[in-house]
Amino acid sequence: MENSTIKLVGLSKHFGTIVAVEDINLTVQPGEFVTLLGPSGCGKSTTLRMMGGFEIPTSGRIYLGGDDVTDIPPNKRNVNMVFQDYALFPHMTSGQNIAFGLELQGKTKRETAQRVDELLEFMQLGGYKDRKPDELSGGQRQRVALARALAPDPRVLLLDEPLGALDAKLRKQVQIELKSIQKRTGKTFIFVTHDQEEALTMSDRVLVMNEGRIEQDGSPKDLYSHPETRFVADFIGETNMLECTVSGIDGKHVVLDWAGTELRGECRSAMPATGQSVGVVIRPENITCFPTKPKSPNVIKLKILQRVFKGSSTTFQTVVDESKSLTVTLDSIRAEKISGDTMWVHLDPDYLSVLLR
Amino acid sequence: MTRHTRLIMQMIYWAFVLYLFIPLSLMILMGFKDSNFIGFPIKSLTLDWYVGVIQDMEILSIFGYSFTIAISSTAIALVIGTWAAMLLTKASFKGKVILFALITLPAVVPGIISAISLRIYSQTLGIDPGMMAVILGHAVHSVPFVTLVSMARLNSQPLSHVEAAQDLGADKLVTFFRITLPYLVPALIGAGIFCMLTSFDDFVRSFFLGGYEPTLPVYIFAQLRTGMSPEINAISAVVLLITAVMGLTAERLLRRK
Amino acid sequence: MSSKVTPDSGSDPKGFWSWLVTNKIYQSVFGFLLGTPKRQFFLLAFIPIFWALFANLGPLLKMLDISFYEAYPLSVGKESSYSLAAWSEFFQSRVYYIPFFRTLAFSAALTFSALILTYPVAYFLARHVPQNRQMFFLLIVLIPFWVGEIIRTYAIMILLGNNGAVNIVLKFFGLIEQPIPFMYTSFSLSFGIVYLVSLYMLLPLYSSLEKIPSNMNEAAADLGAGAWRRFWKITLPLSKDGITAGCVLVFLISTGFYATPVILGGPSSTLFSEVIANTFSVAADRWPSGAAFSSIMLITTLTLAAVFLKIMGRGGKGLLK
Repeated sequence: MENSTIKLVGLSKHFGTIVAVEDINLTVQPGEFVTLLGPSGCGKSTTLRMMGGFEIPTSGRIYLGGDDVTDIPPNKRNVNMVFQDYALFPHMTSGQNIAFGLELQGKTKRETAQRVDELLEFMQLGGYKDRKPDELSGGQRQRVALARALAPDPRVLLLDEPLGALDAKLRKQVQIELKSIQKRTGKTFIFVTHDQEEALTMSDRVLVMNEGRIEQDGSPKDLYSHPETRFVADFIGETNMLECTVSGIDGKHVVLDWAGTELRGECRSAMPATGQSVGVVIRPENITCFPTKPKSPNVIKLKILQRVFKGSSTTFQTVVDESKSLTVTLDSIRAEKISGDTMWVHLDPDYLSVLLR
Repeated sequence: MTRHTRLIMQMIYWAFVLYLFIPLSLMILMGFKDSNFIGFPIKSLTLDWYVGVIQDMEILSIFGYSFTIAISSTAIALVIGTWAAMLLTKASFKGKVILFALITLPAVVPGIISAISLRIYSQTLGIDPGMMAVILGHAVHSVPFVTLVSMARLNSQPLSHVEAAQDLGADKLVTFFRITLPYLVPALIGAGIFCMLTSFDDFVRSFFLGGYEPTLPVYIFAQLRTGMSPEINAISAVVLLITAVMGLTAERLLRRK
Repeated sequence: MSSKVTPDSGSDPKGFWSWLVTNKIYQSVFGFLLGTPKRQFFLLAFIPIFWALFANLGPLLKMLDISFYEAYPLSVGKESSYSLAAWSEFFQSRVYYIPFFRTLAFSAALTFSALILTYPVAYFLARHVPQNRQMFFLLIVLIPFWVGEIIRTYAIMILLGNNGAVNIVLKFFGLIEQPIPFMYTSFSLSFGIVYLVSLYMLLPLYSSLEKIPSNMNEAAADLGAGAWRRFWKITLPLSKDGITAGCVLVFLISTGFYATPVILGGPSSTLFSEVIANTFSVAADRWPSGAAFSSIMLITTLTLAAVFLKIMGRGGKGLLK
């Protein structure tokens, strides 16, 4: 048996002439929390639904623990799903909802009751066994849905934007809960969301999807600090996008010309050719600043147009000259030391990512 | 709109209500008349006719016969109608529009033609006029209604409920009985009561398909041909009461979210 | 997370569904029947298709078939032979085609009367009654319609009879000396049928009027359109679907009444349903004629309804996704 829980090979899904998912390859390790992140219509839900068995792939295979399950219907796949609207059965109590999958595994009454109680306990739903879904709060419903999906002990748990229906405050709390549940159960979670914060907070690994393809596959930190494509850079967090021309290679760094300003940046993929136009990104908070000119390369003098106090941090809208602007975010304590309408900043080449796509 | 037109509208509505209720109220009233003769003036009132209806074994057995037919035909209609609705909402296939038209066809065939064609058909199938023929005739008439009501309800069922059940290991059959059917139940009870009412009230099919034993409307029709009597009024009033209670119950169930 | 397994103390039965899905017979039977999408479809489609063909279409086709017989039911030992006699019979006697055309004209006129009668009521219900009380107002008018054809026809008899309520009231006010013979005329029959069918007009009208957003009228009023103009230009066109559905329904239903014309009508108002029924009476027993007449009636009414729907421009069926 292979050591992966779920593996997608060249998976594609077309609806008529519309391409929903194109050539997805993915291997998920046991116990991983993997998130498919992307805007609506990017194919993330379709990919998840193919894993669940609700959509039949146009081409490609799906393996579950080494077995090809591409043609196995959902009721015979050892994979469970938490639906966006939870899909709790309205005519059954929480207990009956959780017991549903166990009964269909042919468990005895006692086994079923024991497992249901265990799960209710685990989800801190102790006193809610006999409540119907419409007598539960949003958060409780979400936990019942989770317990129901975990009950048959699936190999992989699929979660289709399960936090979408919760209000902002509750969502933060549930994100932490969900991560801790995943840790404690040791289950493989595949999570779908369009919310980048959710993805970064909970996941071990994030796949950013766009137009049916995977844009980037990496840890949250990787994605954030070292986006590989313009789409990822733009989709995740706030960013500065610098349109540059490559003027040469200097060791491991790329020498860039940003409309007259020379910069050095880092390129993780293949080195670009001289003269090529590239996008270069740097996060506003990865820019360090000095009141006076420091002695290192990649230093620029900025003219401050506006400063916005945001509590623990302060954001500066600045320009280098008429054609070039930068957004810089600093700790408020550091920001206080900046007076006047100019400042010196250092763009660390390690955080200045050169994007070829 | 002006207050003036609103008032006129309101008067038209209440006039319509009166138009609907006056004939029925008169009918109930005549059932209390202490005379064999239907019509005005009413000199004294009595409960005798109502008591008579409750004590008349023949009438009670006709009630029973009508109920048996109503319940049996409704049971058939519920099964077939739900089945057809499942097919028409859950599957996609060629000729779906044609099948939908065929399933709902009895709803647009005028009553007399429906009765005549069923009479001929049952004759060729060797089903003699009688209870069996009436039950089947009423079922044929009720299926379109059950189908339409079930389809409306099924179209509002979240797809995720069905998917969740399958995800948890249920095959199509278990999913239907444990998830979809419970979701349909309120609508089916409502539709079922209306089918029972339709069957209970139906004259034309019962008349042509029935044997020697009459259903209630057929009995009243036969009585009317020999002349009016307060006894018929009393029977009608009892039917009216039962009907109103059943109808209101069904209405509540059908409108429930 | 793993289940704690406690030692089995005594019997531990399975619930019904656990038992069912682990049952060998269930597994093999339904494992096979639900095994492929094709088999699943067959299981779902078999009964409805069977019913549509044998219970819905069958009787009408058999009726058409019988209409071409020389005689039916067949007497013992006789062969059936086909003939057009029953069809040509219809055109040969006034006794048949006059009631036929009378029925069509009568039903069309009654349909129109029902429309005029119920439109203001539907309008009032949908536009002037607050949303939360509409159901109550609607239920009031629904109740009488749940009572069957026969009982309501009888109620009309009591109302219109020579000693009926109308004549008594008229006499009381000295407007008449002799009772007006309402009964057994076209009047009593029309009155009765409109009384029976007006709900089938009211409900579609109400549901189409109810769907018109109220701000539509306000917007028109804002632009200076008067009440009548608003009605002609906005409300009436937007309730067209309801009018169409109501008219087709009422027309088809009113052509199909049998008991009501027998009870309320007279010799001068014989309807085609009575002609059809008479061919099935013990005395006449001319089934092929009845079948032919019914076929003519069915084809005519459905064609008229289809043409009407076409003219009013209604197609798609909302329930079929």
